[in-house]
Amino acid sequence: MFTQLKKIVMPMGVSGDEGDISAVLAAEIAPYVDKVYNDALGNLIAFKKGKGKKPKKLMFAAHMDEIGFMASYIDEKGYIRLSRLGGINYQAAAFSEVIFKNGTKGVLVPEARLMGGQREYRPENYYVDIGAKSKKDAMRRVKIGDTCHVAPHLFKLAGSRVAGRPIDDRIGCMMLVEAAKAAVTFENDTYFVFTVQEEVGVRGAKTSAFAIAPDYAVAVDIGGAGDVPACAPLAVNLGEGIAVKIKDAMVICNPKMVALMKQIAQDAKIPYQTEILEGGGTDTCMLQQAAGGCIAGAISVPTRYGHSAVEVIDMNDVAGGIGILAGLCGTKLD
Amino acid sequence: MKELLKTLALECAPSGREKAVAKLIEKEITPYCDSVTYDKIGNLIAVIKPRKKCERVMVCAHMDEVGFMVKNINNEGRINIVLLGAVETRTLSGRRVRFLDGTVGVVSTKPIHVMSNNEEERPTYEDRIYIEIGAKNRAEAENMVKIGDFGTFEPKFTPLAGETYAGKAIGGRACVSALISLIKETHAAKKAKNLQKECYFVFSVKREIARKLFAVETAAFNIRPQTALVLDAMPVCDYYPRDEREQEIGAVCGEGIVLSPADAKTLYDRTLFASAVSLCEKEGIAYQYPRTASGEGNESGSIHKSTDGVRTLSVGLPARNLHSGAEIIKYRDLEAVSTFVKAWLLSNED
Amino acid sequence: MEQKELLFALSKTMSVVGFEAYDEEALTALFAPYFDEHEYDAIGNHIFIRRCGKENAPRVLVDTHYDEIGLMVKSITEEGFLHICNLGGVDARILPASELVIYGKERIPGVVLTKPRELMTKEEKKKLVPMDELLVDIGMTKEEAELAAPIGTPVGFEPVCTELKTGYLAGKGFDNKCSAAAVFDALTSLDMKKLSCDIYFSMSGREEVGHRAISAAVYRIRPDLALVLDVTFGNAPGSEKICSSDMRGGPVVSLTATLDTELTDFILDTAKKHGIPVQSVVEAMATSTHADDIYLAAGGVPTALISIPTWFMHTANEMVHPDDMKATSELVSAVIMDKFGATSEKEEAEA
Repeated sequence: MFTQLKKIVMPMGVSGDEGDISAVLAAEIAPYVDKVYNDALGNLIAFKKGKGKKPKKLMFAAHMDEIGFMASYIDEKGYIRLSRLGGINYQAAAFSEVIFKNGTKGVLVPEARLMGGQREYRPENYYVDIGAKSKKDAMRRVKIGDTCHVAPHLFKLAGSRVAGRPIDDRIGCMMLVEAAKAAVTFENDTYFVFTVQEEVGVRGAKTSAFAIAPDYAVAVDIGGAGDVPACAPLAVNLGEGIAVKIKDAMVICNPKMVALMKQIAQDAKIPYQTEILEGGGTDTCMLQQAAGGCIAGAISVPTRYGHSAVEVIDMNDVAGGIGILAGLCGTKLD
Repeated sequence: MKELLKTLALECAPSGREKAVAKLIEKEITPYCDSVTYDKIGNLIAVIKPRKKCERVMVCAHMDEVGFMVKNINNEGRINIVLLGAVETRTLSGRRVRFLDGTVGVVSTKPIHVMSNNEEERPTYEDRIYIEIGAKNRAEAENMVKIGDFGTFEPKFTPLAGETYAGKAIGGRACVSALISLIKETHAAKKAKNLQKECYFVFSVKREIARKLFAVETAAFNIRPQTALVLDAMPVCDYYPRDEREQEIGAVCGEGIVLSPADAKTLYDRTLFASAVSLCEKEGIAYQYPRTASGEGNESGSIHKSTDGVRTLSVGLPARNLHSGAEIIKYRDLEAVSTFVKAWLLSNED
Repeated sequence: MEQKELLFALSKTMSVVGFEAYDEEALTALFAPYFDEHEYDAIGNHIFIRRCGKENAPRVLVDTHYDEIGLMVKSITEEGFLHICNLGGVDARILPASELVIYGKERIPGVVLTKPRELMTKEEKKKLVPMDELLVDIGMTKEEAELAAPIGTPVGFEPVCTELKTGYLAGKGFDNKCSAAAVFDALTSLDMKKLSCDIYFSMSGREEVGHRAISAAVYRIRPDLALVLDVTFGNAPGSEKICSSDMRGGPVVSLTATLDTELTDFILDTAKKHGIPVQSVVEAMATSTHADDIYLAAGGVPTALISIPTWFMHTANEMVHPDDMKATSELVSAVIMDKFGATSEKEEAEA
């Protein structure tokens, strides 16, 4: 599973520019579904017809975009200023290797005056040095509007834990692919949707759910973990099971979906936890209210250090999550 | 276009009361369109399309402007207001304003002679300002102005040197005039059997008071365009560098249309953005980029997310002093916007 | 049922935001018999429909949200006390020593713990206890609590409704169930044969967490016109700063740039014509009610907002006056009758 995850973690896909990762995921999931296509905003939708007469529509969503940057200004010396796409923590991203879509590499650094005593981490105080000699030189390599990201990587920690970026939410993308693979039957018309622009305001989920108009929908994303030193209290621990979301700041999951997923987990002896996040949101909120509304819920992979370059998860939790998703595929919904 | 701009700019249309401008536009465009209708919330929608089915494109500009509503009238006949849109109260103090029925008033300001040092340094808040219409008392005021009435900055159209124009709402109305002129060109293209797009032109309402959604959302929902182009004024601040760093200035008045790769509300379609840049290069249209890719954004924010998604591009007209009683634009920028939208909509190359 | 009894009955139904389905059956039993059709959708909206029987009749949506602010079990301590978090806008200041109901499989009573004042330090006396430090005592051990009130269980205020000597009513969830009671009264009293519209009464959910369900209902219904009923602030000390209205001054019509002008004017004219007391309030940029959402949903719906003045919004004792509810009810039925009841009269006149 590590190799498979690495394949899905490495491609670039900053919000609004998800072409590369979309192509990889399309190839990964195609063998297990009937149809794969992209919509106007770039959401990747994989459809698998359900059995029987008039099956209900079940939609899974995991976002394939990652947080990153867009080049917004190139100065006379060829340094590049950025605008951020998604909730990047600049302090965590400073002094790292960044890569533009066309392969151009650079380093993200704060202005020198910030490195002294008082640090003011405003996005506009950071720039990228691509080693260009002049504005002209830089503009040959990078254009205004080009996206870049902190270099992706993935490595194993102790036991079943892995670290890297962007695990948010490529882990969810992998779980969708693995669930399509693992499902024994598809009792419902099932849509595996790899959404775009989640990190900038859950935009792709809105349009894809409108078009699909599902009866049931489940988002898969990273969640939090409450088992690290001096963190906000959260009753979720890494490695103690996949988390069934009850609420976050943008959604209260439908109690029916929460109960259904708990039941599937209990039946399959999958360990699970329940998650109440008071901040943040996921695609779930848009799935719930798109078109005429649907019964929506979410599962979260307990994750430490989200939105950093060293997001940490436990692959055992992931395996449990895939089990729940596959279980949903095999459950006749009405 | 200049005369039209002047006429449009002198008309008042605070958000929620766009009728005066809408009527003017309707009169101007009706001879050129297949149909001109209003949707259920007042967006004005004009259609020109060829016989055969082809790509559905929506081009829009908003009709409304910032303004205010009467909240209360006190016993002395003074009028408390609530602002409509992001009006900086500093630009209101001591200015003339006009209610839709023509009543003119002046916005209060405390004479500097009696201000404490502390007060001088602070802006005035909305709940401290009032409008003086010279009424003796509440009863007399109520003969002229009612609670819930709308008003705007006093209309004025001031030509400055170098084909620069100043006036209230001039940024928005300039975009409206560009859209009207585009409609006329589209009509001509249709007559010449050269039109290869189903064109929906939307003059939208209530842009300045939008919260979660822009009112143009309803038009996008009903039209279901495949592609959308949004024209709007782009606030520029090319006169006060925030610090010594040049990048803080960004777009400049007089240097062409502003093409944004992204803003806080929209990540523009990458293909549309790239082809817009090459179109400008090819046609020799002056263009520039905004200060950052996380600017405030415009109606695109609702349009691109409407229904199952719309590929969207935005074109900005640089404007100084936006949302004040004296917005400033340069005519050559407006011409660039106009040239660009014509080339974009009516050229039939891929 | 009198409006007061109806309001009290509604107040007793549990509809904490996100968990509107908890008492779905009770609410259906209360209302559905009076309507031609009823639907309870996937996201907590009840839609009750009355039909006029004419083909292609215009659809009128009358919306009152019926979800309430509330709380949720966030975690359980070793001692069996509950930690809670907010659902909607509960003010943490009103919680210490509050009586609550925990809506597990059973309704479990609970009380919020507070430190006795004698035992507080000087600093503690000055400080507000934040929500995540509050504990709820339900008298159970941790093991019992985990079964009876697991993490994610919704929690509400104890439903106690009281009529004061002055006629005022006090209780929980009157935001916005007082509107629902008034509207129910108005809609069920209409003679549908005399009308040329179908009426969709939405008791909508998920309002208190940011209006998350109404647009989907509008998308399915596609109304031609909408009236939204909600509560507004009654005048009280300190309320000059916000847009507030007189208690017992009648329903409040919002004058705003965000909604439909003609419909708003029509409502004010109708009130005048029928001698129904009415007030208005200026909410220039937004009303922050479902009206804003409905207006822009599904291609646009001409919408106006009518509100009932309320004291102590978002507490366990929201107060309304039955006179305001009654006048609101009269206004809603007069507006619908005058707008859609004209055909038969016109026909008679023509004949």
